Amino acid sequence: MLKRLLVLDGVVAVCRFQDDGTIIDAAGLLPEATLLHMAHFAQWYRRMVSGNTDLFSLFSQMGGWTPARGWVVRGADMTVCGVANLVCMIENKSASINEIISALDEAARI
Amino acid sequence: MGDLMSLDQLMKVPGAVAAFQYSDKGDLVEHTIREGTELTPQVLDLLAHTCVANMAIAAMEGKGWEALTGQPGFAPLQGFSLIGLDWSTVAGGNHGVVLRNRDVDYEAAFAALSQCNE
Amino acid sequence: MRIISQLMAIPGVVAAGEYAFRGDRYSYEGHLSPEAARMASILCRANTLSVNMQTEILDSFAEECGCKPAQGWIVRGRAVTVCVIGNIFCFIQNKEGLLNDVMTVMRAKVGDIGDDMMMSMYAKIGGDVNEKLY
Repeated sequence: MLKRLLVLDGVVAVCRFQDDGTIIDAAGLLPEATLLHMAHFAQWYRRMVSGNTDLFSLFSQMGGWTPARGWVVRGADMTVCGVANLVCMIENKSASINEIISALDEAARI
Repeated sequence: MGDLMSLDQLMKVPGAVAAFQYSDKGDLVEHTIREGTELTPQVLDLLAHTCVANMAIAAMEGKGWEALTGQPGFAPLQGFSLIGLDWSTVAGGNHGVVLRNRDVDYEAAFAALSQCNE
Repeated sequence: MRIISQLMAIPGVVAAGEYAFRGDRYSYEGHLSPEAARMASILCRANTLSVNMQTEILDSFAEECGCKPAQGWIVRGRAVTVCVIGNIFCFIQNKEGLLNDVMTVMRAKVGDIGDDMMMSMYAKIGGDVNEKLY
């Protein structure tokens, strides 16, 4: 399933993780230790973003924010994005964030 | 208060093992670490960024709370403390101090920080 | 004596309560409306999650740095301070000496928070939480 994401332009690695941060499935050209790090970060970010989105929704009294669905960390050359319990690392120069987020969204529903 | 003087004052807080100053973005500007402590400038730099993140969220929460509940007294933010197992970090403005939990004095830390930021 | 009652007996404590790590349950005593207490419990969960995340990341870069597992946090406002240890929260006035007293009581009564707390926090997120927050 994750291999379908791997063929998208710019995707370096993708993984599906459990609530304790361990990896259920992974695909891509990253060493295992790095993938594990990425999964841990993704789990932390997911929780943090969920928490802060809840707060924002509460204080803004504005609908449409919760439940938080994902996050994107944009670096100079690389980006990491997470949707549900999936996380993907991409190269900025060749990847389309829109396409990847849609693909992650779809994969997350499975 | 001069920068190094600020750090000296922070190091006098009971339990203090390190004091640091950081930019608005969280980059470490100045630091002092008590000898024999396992903290390093690299860890303090990470901590400084953590402090900036936490204070930004806490400031948002304070403003949001006041606006929504009408209950005053939360804003403007004075500081934030992250309490770890053995250590606590207390931060306010652009300064922070790391304290050993067994002899920590949070009040003295917040008071010293408010003097740094005058 | 239950910790919340013990905290409320200290002059200057505005409110004290317990928030659930998971879900929206909470209990409290003191000068908070039920809605404010509900908001406080959401706030506490969010900040506790953040702080735990941060200590995990810090620990991954500097093992045995002494911050993990996170025990709590304090937000110092202009006249009111919020302090949290584990799943106990306390709103206090910024009276001299009070913060240290309250923190001493909280740390002593709650005890050390273990590593496993995070397992039960936000265990069902990312689409499973349907409740509107306001």
